[in-house]
Amino acid sequence: MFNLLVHEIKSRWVAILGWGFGLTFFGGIYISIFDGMFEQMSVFKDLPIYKIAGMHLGSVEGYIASVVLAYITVLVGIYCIVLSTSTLAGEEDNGTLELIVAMPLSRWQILTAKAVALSVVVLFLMIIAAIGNAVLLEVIKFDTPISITPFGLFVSLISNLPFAVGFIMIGLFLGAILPSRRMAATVMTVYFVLSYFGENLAGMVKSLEPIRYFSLFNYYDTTATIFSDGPRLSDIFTLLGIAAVFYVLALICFRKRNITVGAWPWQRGKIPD
Amino acid sequence: MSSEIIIQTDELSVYYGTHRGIKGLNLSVQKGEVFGFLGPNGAGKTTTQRVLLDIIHPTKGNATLFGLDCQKDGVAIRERVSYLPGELNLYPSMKAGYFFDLLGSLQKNKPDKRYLKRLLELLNLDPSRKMKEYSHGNKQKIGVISAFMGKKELIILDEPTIGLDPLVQQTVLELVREVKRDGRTVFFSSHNLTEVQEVCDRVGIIQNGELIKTEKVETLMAQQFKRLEINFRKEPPHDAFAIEGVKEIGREGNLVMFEIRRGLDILMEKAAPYGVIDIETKTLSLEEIFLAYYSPQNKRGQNV
Repeated sequence: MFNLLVHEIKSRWVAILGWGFGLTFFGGIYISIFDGMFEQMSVFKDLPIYKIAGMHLGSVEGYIASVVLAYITVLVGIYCIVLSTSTLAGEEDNGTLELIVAMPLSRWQILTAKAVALSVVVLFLMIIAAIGNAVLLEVIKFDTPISITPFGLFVSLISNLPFAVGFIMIGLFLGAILPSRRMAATVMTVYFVLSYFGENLAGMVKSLEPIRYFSLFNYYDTTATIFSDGPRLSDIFTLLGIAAVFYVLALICFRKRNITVGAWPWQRGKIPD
Repeated sequence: MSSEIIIQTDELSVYYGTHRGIKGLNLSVQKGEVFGFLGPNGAGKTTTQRVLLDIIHPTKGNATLFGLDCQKDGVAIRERVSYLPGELNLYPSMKAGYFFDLLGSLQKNKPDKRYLKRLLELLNLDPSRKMKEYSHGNKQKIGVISAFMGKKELIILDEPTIGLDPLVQQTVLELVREVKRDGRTVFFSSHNLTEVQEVCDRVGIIQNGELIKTEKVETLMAQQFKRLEINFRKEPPHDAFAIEGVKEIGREGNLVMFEIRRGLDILMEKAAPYGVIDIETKTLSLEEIFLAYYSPQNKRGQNV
């Protein structure tokens, strides 16, 4: 199982570097143009469109949290959709999963190796992105006073790992339960979009408040408070709990699944009378 | 060959929705045997193999390998089995050498590097390239090597020689013979009946998901009917050869064609009055027997 885990990580080293440096570059752009951008954008801080998009432009820290933390979280989430749905469902569609399932490994070992490997892949790329963004924050000099420390930005970015792991486990579950990768990716994308906008809308419309609890975005703070108070432990544990639940569900479905068939896991066919 | 049973299926059925995969399959393969599994496309050959490896689960019935249940003891079984899928899909960006290392690393008993090197030499494969750079035939060689390199007790091969040139096909068949000499077992699915005839001890013929015949290759070949063509001096009447075990299958003027199971002596007696000029006999190959099984007139092979 350990060898499969190592292989799963090694086979994605290009993605780790690409996404790690890509997210550094992405955050770096917003950090480097921060002075001018913040002034312009804060004029529109009360516009609903920014609120729906989850932007908190009332303070410098809010701006950094909105454009760096929130957007990096969105990008990581998108990568998690691609990563997790291409892993079980995608490999089954490609036909390579058959080779692995024919090895002397149990289904739980295969799923666990892949789940851990994907989490480690996201951890590695987040470490690169967090270090990169922290270094840029330290190196670039600003006119506007800012209370965020490079270490604070690093911790804030790294703390979205449980959020990413949550999405990975949901993606693996969908890949194990739905008949094809296309279906898994579609359902995952719909959930992702609804989660993101639902969470922000719930903050604006009181009657939509209950939606918030079904959104993983609710459990990752992308406001300025994360820099002053740090990540909330309750959120981290909630996300890890959600990840654990979906891991177990993925395991149940994967054990029952007929590989290569592209059917629902419990579908066993019926013997005609 | 030992009498130890390696593969046993009991009323094994797999349905995809209401579509039949395999139906009430009862199969038994002994240790040291090369068992040929024959059937047309969609007959259920691949489904059977996938059930044996717990890749898919049966709708009804059960299968055991080495006396172990395929579903409950899948890991223990797969430690002793290697598999070449019929639809081989490889990781495009992975180098063949890395692929062999990966498969080896997932085994409890690591493959013998010297044997792997020998297989690479025998099949003339350079493992330093990426999968996407190989031709179809070379990809198939990679699959063959991965199936043989672990020296497992049972090797399940689904169309192993497909896409290979005749020389390499012979090398693969020689590898199968080598496995047999070691006392190991091969479950060999193929469309190429000549090669089945060449290496298999027994064959099972599957059609529409049902096993319709299991027989030793030599028995099947011995039991087969012969084709006989007799050229007469004068044309015999159509009812001249109503003999049990003899079937007239056609005539062109004075040339009459028969399929004969028994009763050759009676046929000769009855043929003599019409003046026999020439007789030509033809022994059917396994391929022709197989085709006879699947001909529309012989849906269940009753006439064979």
